[in-house]
Amino acid sequence: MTTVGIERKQRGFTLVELLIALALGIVVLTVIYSTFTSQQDSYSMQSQVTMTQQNLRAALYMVTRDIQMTGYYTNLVHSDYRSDWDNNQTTADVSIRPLLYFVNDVPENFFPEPGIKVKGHTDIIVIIKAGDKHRELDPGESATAGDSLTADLNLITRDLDGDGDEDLNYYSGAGHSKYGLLVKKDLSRAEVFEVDSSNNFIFHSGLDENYEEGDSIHKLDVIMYVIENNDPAHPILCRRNIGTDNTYTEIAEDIDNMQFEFILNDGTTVNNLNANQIPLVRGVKTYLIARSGKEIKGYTDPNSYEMGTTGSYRPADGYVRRLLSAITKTRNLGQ
Amino acid sequence: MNYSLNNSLLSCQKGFTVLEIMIAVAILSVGILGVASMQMSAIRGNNLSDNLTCGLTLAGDKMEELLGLDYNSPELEDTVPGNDNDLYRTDPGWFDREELDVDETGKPDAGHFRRVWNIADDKPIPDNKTITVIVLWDKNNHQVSLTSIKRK
Repeated sequence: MTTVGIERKQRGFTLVELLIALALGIVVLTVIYSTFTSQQDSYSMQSQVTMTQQNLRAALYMVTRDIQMTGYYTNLVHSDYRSDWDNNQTTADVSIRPLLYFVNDVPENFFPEPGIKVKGHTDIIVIIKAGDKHRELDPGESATAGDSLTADLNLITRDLDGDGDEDLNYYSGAGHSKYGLLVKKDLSRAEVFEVDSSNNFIFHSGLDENYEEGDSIHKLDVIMYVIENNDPAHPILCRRNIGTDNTYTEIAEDIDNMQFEFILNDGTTVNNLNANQIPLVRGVKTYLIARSGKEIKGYTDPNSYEMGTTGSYRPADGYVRRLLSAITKTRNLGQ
Repeated sequence: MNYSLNNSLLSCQKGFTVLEIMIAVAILSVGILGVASMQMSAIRGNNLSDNLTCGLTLAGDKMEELLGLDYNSPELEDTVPGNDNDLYRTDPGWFDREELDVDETGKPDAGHFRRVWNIADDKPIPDNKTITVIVLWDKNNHQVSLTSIKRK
């Protein structure tokens, strides 16, 4: 009798109860899952945005700090100083007295193989200034004004900082300088020379002055900023000191566009420079666009990025972007 | 005896009632909403830092421009000497100059930044100007400012 009673009481769920429980469970799970996915999407979007903003800020800081230094400690006379400032091994470029050099909207194959691929329609800027290594000329050391190329520079040693390492040597190792600078004691004039592959000193425009004891000799920094596009998924802003080494240093990842415009002494702004405007540059406006590391699912960039006289940029793809610009007064350009 | 024991045991093994489930779901959804509000604050934080970066760059641009001008340039005129002891004032009548609706590249009438700059002549010492640039956004609720001194 007792066993029958127990069996009758120990019933399982009915089908209806089970269905109701399942339905409720599914509703709860669906809510939890959809919340999770939307939170996950939001998280990944926001972390991309954070990274983009960080990259952009760091990149703009580096570029503008270097532009500020353009022409530091140099008072150059030749407006047509020619050298291969961008190191693309094709042209002898005329630079701005030669303190600033600029390439507008470069093609992708700007540099020869094996080199880096540049992101098309971005700008390249080259900043020229006296470097940190320098010393005064010692007794017996001198440079004599002369014709182009053959001007005479006698140095007891090519070491500039006294560490025993010859600084003015062509690319024989890190820190060695391809370019140098002679500065008069009273800062009235400075002249650039190049160290060629046979370690001769080359004065492309000839040497105008005699230099002697007390005048100074400097390493010359030739700093280039370029957007490298070897991996089109991640364009990288690179800095390279052509005067000192062969390597591109990565400054910031996922920099999508870099444009410059120039502010002349009368306040006008130009996108590109002609020969007459070259000595009139007093400031540089830098536009940088950073983008997220990957495309965001279901997102299309609706923005058209207006970059002054350099035009607008409307990519309309799945990347999130941020545009930032900064005006830099070039303190050492012009009088 | 046996029967009544079994009966009481079984009557203890009840499931949840619908009401209990509803209450549990309500509490759970409050928790989930809490997580969602954390995301909202993350988005707001990112937006604020974006505006801060833009605002600081805009202030830096204006400062760069003002410091590059001639000492006696009209742009550097101290039009409201009354604010010289508090160069952070941005209320009407108490600032020297302003630009409205500047965008992140400095273009006027295209964005949501307001840029104010105040000049104090002969501060902190004679023949020097103290310059303060303030960038405001979000209906003047947020701002960044830079101060510098220009020598004659």
